[in-house]
Order: sequence, then C-alpha cells, then structure tokens
Amino acid sequence: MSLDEPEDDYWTASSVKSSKRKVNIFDDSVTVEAASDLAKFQKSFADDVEEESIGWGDDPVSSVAMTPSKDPALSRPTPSSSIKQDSSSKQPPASSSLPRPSFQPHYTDTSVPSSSTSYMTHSRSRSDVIVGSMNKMSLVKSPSTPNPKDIRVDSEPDLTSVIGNSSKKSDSKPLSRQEQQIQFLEQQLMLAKKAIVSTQISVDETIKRIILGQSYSLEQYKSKEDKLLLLDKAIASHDGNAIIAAVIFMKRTLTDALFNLELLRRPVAVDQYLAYLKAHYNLNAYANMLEMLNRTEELAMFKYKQSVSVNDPAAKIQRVKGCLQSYFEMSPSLQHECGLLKQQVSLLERQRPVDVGDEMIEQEGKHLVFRQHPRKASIINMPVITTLFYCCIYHYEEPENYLSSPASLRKEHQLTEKQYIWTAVRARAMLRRWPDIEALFLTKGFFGSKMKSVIGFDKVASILHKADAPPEILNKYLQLVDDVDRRLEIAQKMQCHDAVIETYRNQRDRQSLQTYFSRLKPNSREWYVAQGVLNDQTVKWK
Amino acid sequence: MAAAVSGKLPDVYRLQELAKEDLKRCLNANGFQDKDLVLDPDLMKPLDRITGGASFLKENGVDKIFKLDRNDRQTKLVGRDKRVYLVKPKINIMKIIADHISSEKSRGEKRQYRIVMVPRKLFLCEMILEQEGVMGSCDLDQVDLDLVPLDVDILSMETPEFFKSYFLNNDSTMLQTVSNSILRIQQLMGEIPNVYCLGKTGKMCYELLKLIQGESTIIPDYPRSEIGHLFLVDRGIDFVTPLCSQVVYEGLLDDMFGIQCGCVEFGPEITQKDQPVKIRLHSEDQMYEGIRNQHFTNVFELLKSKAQDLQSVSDKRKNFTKVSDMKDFVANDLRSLNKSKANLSYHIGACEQIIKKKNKGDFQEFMQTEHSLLEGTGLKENMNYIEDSINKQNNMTSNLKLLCLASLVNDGIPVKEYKTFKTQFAQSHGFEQIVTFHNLKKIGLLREQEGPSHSMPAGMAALTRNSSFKNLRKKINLIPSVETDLRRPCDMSYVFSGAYSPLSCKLIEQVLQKEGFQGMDEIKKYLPSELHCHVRLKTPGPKTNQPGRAAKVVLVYFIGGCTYSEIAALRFLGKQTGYKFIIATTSIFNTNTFLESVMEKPQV
Repeated sequence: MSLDEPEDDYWTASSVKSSKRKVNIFDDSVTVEAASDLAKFQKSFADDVEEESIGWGDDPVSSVAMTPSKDPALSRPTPSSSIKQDSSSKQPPASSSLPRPSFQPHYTDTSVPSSSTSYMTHSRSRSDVIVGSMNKMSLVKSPSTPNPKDIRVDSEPDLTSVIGNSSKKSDSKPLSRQEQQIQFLEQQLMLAKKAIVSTQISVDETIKRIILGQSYSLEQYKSKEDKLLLLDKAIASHDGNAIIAAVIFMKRTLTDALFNLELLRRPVAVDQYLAYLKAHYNLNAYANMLEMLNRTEELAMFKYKQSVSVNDPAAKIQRVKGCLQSYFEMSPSLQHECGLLKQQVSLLERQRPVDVGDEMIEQEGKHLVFRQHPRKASIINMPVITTLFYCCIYHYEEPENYLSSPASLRKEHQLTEKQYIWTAVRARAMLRRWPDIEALFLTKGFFGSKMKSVIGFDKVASILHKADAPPEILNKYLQLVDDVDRRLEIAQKMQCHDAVIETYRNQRDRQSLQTYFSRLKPNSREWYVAQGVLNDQTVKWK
Repeated sequence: MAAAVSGKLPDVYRLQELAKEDLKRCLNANGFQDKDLVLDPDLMKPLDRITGGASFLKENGVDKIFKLDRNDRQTKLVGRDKRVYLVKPKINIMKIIADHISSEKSRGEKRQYRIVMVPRKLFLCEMILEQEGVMGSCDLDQVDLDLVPLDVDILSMETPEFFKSYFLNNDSTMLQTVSNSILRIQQLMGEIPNVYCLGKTGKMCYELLKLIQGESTIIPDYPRSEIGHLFLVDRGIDFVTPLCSQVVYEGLLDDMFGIQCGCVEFGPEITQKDQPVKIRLHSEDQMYEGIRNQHFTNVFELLKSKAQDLQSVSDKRKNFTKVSDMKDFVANDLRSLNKSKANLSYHIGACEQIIKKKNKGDFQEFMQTEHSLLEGTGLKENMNYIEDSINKQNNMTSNLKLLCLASLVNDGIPVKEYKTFKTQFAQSHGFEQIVTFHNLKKIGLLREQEGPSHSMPAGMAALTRNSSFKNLRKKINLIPSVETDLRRPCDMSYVFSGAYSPLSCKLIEQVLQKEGFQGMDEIKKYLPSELHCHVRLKTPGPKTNQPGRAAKVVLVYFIGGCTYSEIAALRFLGKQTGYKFIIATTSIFNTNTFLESVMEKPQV
C-alpha cells in the first residue's frame, strides 16, 4: 500500500486485515483474556462503580471520566461478550465517514467509548491493551511505518511483542499454527497469572512515561495509597506536567474533602494546581483555593487585580470598594495596601467630576489656559502625581475647598513637600509662570524672606533648564546652589553663561573668568557681559 | 561521537540539524504530503532560525502558512484538506484549535488535522482537546525543538515566559524541557562528566535529567565527551546581575533596540530607509565579533578604524590601471565591500543613538547610584536619589530596578522606607502597581526587611549591617580592588565598567578553579540557594590538556534566563583561563524585559 492511497481505503484495508487476525487470536485466547480481566474486576470493580458515581460537575476530566455510561449489568461480562465488544470497537473507524488520521493506540482508547459501553466500565483494563497492540500490528504491517516514536505501547512491552510475534508467524507458517498457538497460549497464561498477582505498572514507570511523553494510564491506581504515591513520585520528579496529571487524577477520583486534605499537605502540588486553575481561567476555584490555603495577601491581590481590570471609573470605584471590604480590611497584614486602595477610590472620585467640569470649560473656550494648552487626555485612571500636575496646570490658584485644587489633592493624599515641589515646579515652568515658582520657595523668616527648597536648587534649575527658562531666571536659581563647584558644573552644562560669569566674579577668580571668556563666541551677548566684568574696576580680583 | 579534542568548541549547529530532521518527520508523517501550516507567532522566529526560512516548509509540502491569532477565535482558515498546527502547548491555543476543528466539522468540511506541540505534549493540552471533543479528529505529535543555536557558543530556548511561569507562579512544567535539552546535547556530544548545580532549580533539573536518562547500560566514556563541565545555574542564585545597567556593546544593543533570536532590527533613524533593517548578530560577522564584547568606550574607536580600513580598500580602485584589475575587484571585493559598509554604518548609527540616549536625563547620577548600591556606600544619598526619581516620575522600570537592587544588596529595605517608597511609587505610577510589589516580593526581588518596624535612624542602622550580598561581595571579590583598564581589561568586571563582577560568572570561575565547592562553605552560607555537584572526572594539576582529562569545554545553562553582559563575562573568562564556554539559557533578557515580565501593566 503506498503512502498516497486515500485514507479511507487504507483504513478499510487494514481493519479487515487486523480483524481477521484478531479473530484468530481472540478465539484462542479467550479464556486467558477473560481470566485476567475477571481477576482485575474482582479486585477493583466495587470501588470503580463507587468512584464513578461521584459527580464531577465542571471539574476537568480526562479521557475515562468523559464516558457517561456505566452499566452495572456489565460488571461481569462473559468472556465472549467482552471480546466481541473489543472487535466491534475496532470497526467504527473503518465504517464511519470520519477519516481518522492516526492509528495510535492512545487515541483509539478515547474513541472507543462512543461505540462500546461495556468496554469502558473496565476503564483501561487488559482488553484495552490488546486493542492497543493490535493497532500497532496493523501499522507495522503497512509499508507506511511511522517513526517508532509514534507508536506508544499501552502495556508492558513484553506482552505486546509476544502477540506481535506469534501473529506474524501464524500468518507465514499456517502449518505449525497449532503448535504456535499452544506456545502462545502458554505464554499468555503465564503472563495472565503474573498479571493477577500484579496488574499494575509501577508508579515509577508511569511517572517516567508521563515525563517522556509516552502513553500511560492512571486508572489502575484505585487505592488512595496508590494515588498518593503517584503524586509524591510526581513531585519528586520535579516535572510540573507529571505533577498536574497526578493532581487532576486525584481531583477526579477522590472526594473534595480528601483531595483538599492531601493536596494541602504538598505545597509543590498546590502551586502547580493553582497555576493550572489560573491558566484555565477557573478563577472561582482559584480564589477558593487561595482562601482555603489562607493565603490572604495573594487572594486579596488577585481580587484587586480583577476589580481594577475595568476602565469605567464608576464601576471601578464600586469594585475596589467591595474588594477592600471583603479582602483587605480585616487583614492586619494588609493595612498598608488598605490605605493605598482607599486613596485610589478617593482619587477616582475626584477625577470624575473634575474631568466632566473641565471638558465643559474647554468647550466653552473662555479659559485662556485651556485654549493655550488643550488637554491631551482625560485624567481618569491617571496616577496621583499626574493628576497633581494636571491640577497645577489648569487649577493652580483655586482654594483648597475645590476638588480640583492642587492643595486639596496634596492634603488628601498626604503628599510630601518634595512630591509637591517636583510636580508644581514642572507644571508652572511649562506655563512659564516664573513668579509662581519663586513663591513656592519664598519663606518668611524672622529676618525677612529667604529662598528655601527641599529638593535642592540644582534640581530646580535643571527643571527650569528643561523648560527653556530665560537665562536670568536660570541664573537666579543657579546662584542659590550653595556648592560653588557644583554650581559651575551645572551652569556650564546648561550653557548658562550669566551664572558662570557671576560666580567667577563673586569668587574674584579673574584667571578662570579669563579662560572662560576666551572660549565664548566673540561679540555674543555673554561675551560682552564677561568682558564688562573683566574690565570692571570695582571688582577686587584675587 | 568524535574524539574530544580538549578545548575545541563543539559544533552546536548539530542540534539545529536534529531539530530540523524531527520537524521534517512531523510535517510528513502519516502521509501528510500537501498541507497547510498554522503557526504559533511565538515560534516564528525560532523556526526561522532553525530552518532558514519558508523554503524548508515548502520543500516539506507546506502550501499555505497561517499565523495563529490568539485573540481572534473566529477566523476562518481555508485551504487544503490536511492541516498541521505548530504551536506551543498552551491552554488558550488548544481552545482556539478546538474551535477551528469543531466549526469546520460542523460546516461539513473534511480535513485531517495534526497538532504538533513544541517542545512537548502536555497533559493539560490533551485534556482540553479531549474535553472539547476533538481528540478523535486530530493527531497529536511533538517536536524536539528547544535550544536554538543563536551563535557558535549561544543556545537559547527563546522562552521568556519561563521566568514568570517558574519563579512567580511556581509552575515547574518547563524544567523537563531544560533537562531534555541537556539529554540531547549529551546524546550528541557524550555524557558530561562534571556537573555543578548552582541553586535549587539546577539540582532539580539535574535530578530530572537523571530520571529521563534512566539506567544506562553503556558505560559513559567521560574523557571522550566533548563537553567536560556542566553548570546548571538557577537564576534565583543571582538576581543582582540582570539588574545592572549593561555597558558592553551587545548588551547595550539589547537594552536599546531589543535583540530577538539573535537578530536586531534597526529603525529608519539609523538606516535612513523607510523599512526597518533586520541584522543577524553572530560571530561570522568579523566586524561585529570585534566589538560585541567590548566596553562601549572602545566601540566608537574600533568602528572608526574599521571605517578607515574599508575606505582604503575602497580607494584601491582609484589606482587601477588595467581593466582586468577593475574586473577582478568588481567580481570579488565589491559586493562584500558594500555589504560591510552598510553594516558598519548601521552600527555607527546605533552607537549614535545610544550616546544620545545616555546624554539625556541624569544618566551619570543613575550609574553612580547603581554602583554605590553595589559597593554598599552612600546609602542615604542612594535612598534620596531613588525617592527623587520616583517623585519625578522617571521611567517606571528603572525606578523599580533601583528599588530591587537596593533590596537585594541589603537583604530588604527597612520597613519604614519600604512603605514610603511603595506609597510614592503607587502615587507616581498608579495604584495598580501594588500588584507588581506583591509579585516582586513573591519572587524575592523586592521586600521589606524583617523584624519590627524601625524609625528612620534605626532603619538606616539596619541598612548598614552585614547583608548576605555584602558578605559575598567580600568573599568572592565582586568589587575589584584595582581599577580596570576598559580598553584592555584584565578582569571580568569590565562588563560593568569595572564596578562589579557578575556574581553568577564569578561563582562559575571559583567552582571551575577547584572543580568543586571545596573551601566555599563560607560562600554557601550567604547564597540564597543550595549548591550541589557531581564530579566524575577530576583534572588536577596544570596539565589539563592531556588525554584522559575532562574536556576544557564548559556548558553553562542559565535556568530562568541570562543577559548579554553575563555572556560577555564568560567569554572573557574563557579567554583568560583557556576554557571554552557554551552558554545555554531559557532566554536572553535585559533589565527591562526581565522586570517587565513580572510587572503589572500600567493602565494608561
């Protein structure tokens, strides 16, 4: 069969072949199969039914739980019926119109439930394995042999290989068939006996398969001890994928109370589970989990993040308020955050009316400042400092009882002098209101008024420089920088010649001034200023 | 496996060939001859690098290539009756694919689907596909595409999301990919005899590697292994280094323009063209190789001399007297000359941009603050500078970076100052930023000092007491005692202007010297995470190049990402000690991309 044959043909062909072979094997191995199946049932069916009857609600479910069917009548299927189900389950892919792109045993498992109900009651028991290996055989037979990596063996490898070998031989040497079959059956019997003793693949092996991306089944782990061992081994492996597989399996097969109890004892598993819930947008479950874990801060932050995700200020105010009440206020460790959230609410409550009012003023067009500096964006949702800057631009002179006045904003948010000065100077400099800036620093003392600043006049000067202040203004503030070297350094950097010349003059440092003068552009304004100082007879040079 | 020649850099591009082969298998398996490909945008750049462009896909029967749009779940894809999805294993992507499949099925379109997950299938993804009812209609596969060779000595997984996922959300799913990629390197180059795990995560990956490896029946031939030493570096062991401002050229390029998958994109201000130009940065580019690891002060000079060289080659043609000379020149030199000229002009343009940026604002003071934080001097001034920067609404990320540095070097910020900073930061950058503070605390990047609330003077006293970083600084000489000549550096601290040697690289240097952790008990005490080593082939004595010794090739694997500065420091260490370094990492980041991955996005 060549690769480009239509899939449907491929499937009909291969399924015919395999079903033929299957009859061969199954007819002969009925008893063995049944034996191992039955053994497994006796052991596990009782709890199986019980567990399956638990409602999973919207919980994530994996392959097996997807099958809604469970028929107690089938708890003890006769061997032949079980086999028939198997072979019939093999048919649907061929007869259905849906093309099946792959023939991997793994997927067959999941497609079977729809066609065969009794089959699924066994979960993934022995018969399952046979179907898997049959698939593999048909693949091996076809020329389009896929990469060995594709074939995921769903059972102990020895079993598969035994089946594979014997069937091939029986095809090629029909004469020794009986002999072959006896041999085969003996082997099967042995395996089955072994299987009765230990039907399980070891937990270690299963974990390794998960990590290696091979197919595996967790359904065999029925006892709580097994499940816990599985989880603990997964945790020990450090692979998040294995851990979450074990966790989800436990979630599905244990009561909530038991699941939570055991999960909470294992912080690594808890984190993995939380990461899953978040990625899965299972946000309620995520929040509940955090609450149960008593991770107050994380829960509060999560809720807060949700509540600020809206843009509408009214809705945001309501949500943040609600969040404050339910998650922040009762927790003493979140006292500081609590204060910040209250500030946020108060800020939003202020921004709304101010924004509405200013929009009207702007439209009226009466106010000069709104005409000269049209608002670029709404202040809603802007930070406090940005809002302060805004208020310093448009509402500087307003008295404190106005919502929009900088003073009231400063008071409400308990802004420090530094915070206020940085922003107010920046805003007033942008409007070129130099007297306002001077007023900010003028402090009346016992011996008259004095210029004083909390942020250092070098920094004030640099704001003014950025705002393109005229040299005389810049010079005024530079002269207030106490450290002379620093003053000269920044004055030169800002190209504020007046400040440099005046400083040298005050220092009576003729030599430095001479040097500076020589570097100035001849006949420029500052050149004349410097020359004037050099020629000034009143200066007593050092 | 070729016999290991000690100290020869193994060919990492073999990994690329392997990935290509595996990709080929995935695309063509099960008779998928002519098909469409739907590609996860996150995989485009790595795929480009691995396959060298779309022609590889065409050769493997891909007809149309669609980009998987994560926001738009309604897009209708039309095309062939076979389709391959090549995606990262993420839940939202699985949902989009499931939507595609079920809606196409309901419209009666007959199509075969294969979902190839990179680098591996995950339980949760299979679960989603199953829940969405499409498991039977599609075929699942995975492709070994993890480490992408970006250069002869750089392998990157290009998964910046690793950091957030593992360090913030404690999701350990991606550790397996680290271990698996090491396994593949070992399959190619032999089992690495000496393994050093710096930090808990390193040890976890090593244990996982051993688990995947299983009981091998073959006795490894350690002396023949091409790589002699493996370092698994947990990013958590050194958060300080990624927060330092980069000053080597390659680091600056990343800071300014963003290097992605070994490529940088220069905009019109540099290229003087309408279209941005994409340049691959790698060691085959001689000119670039000469400047990438240099401190920025040297770069301009080097570029200048290079420009003069080119000019003289260019001038050659003026002296041609024979036509054949001219013909020769045009045939041989002209193309490469023009290419070099363009290349050079881009880098000169980039330098100009960098200088322009550095001259703006208070870069000097910023660097001073950063350096004195690292040295542990001028604490009060530093705190004032940070407060001013916040009040001035300077760039949010750089403010945060200083805060994190201050916290890391002092074992936290004193309670009172911490509260003030947090309040003022929220007032300057938005209240939503309290979530960022929460995230950073969870990772351990920014926190308040433990103990009762201090008043300011007591708080400052707490700042000056011995912190872990202060002890480390002394124990392994992170701050060089002598000044480094940045033009001819004699110390790896040159990558930070001689102010600081990257802790991560310094640790590697120490361990490599002793091939173990002997005498490092003192250091161990101050590291935030444990150390673990497994040395199977010791190479005592000076004659380390003899056969029977471990190869002098070191693979350093950064789990959680690394910076170009660290790469430069390791290359320098290699030159100093004669070791060859190969750097593997989950991603290459800079301070901004590092912090922004765990920051709350500003609202406006």
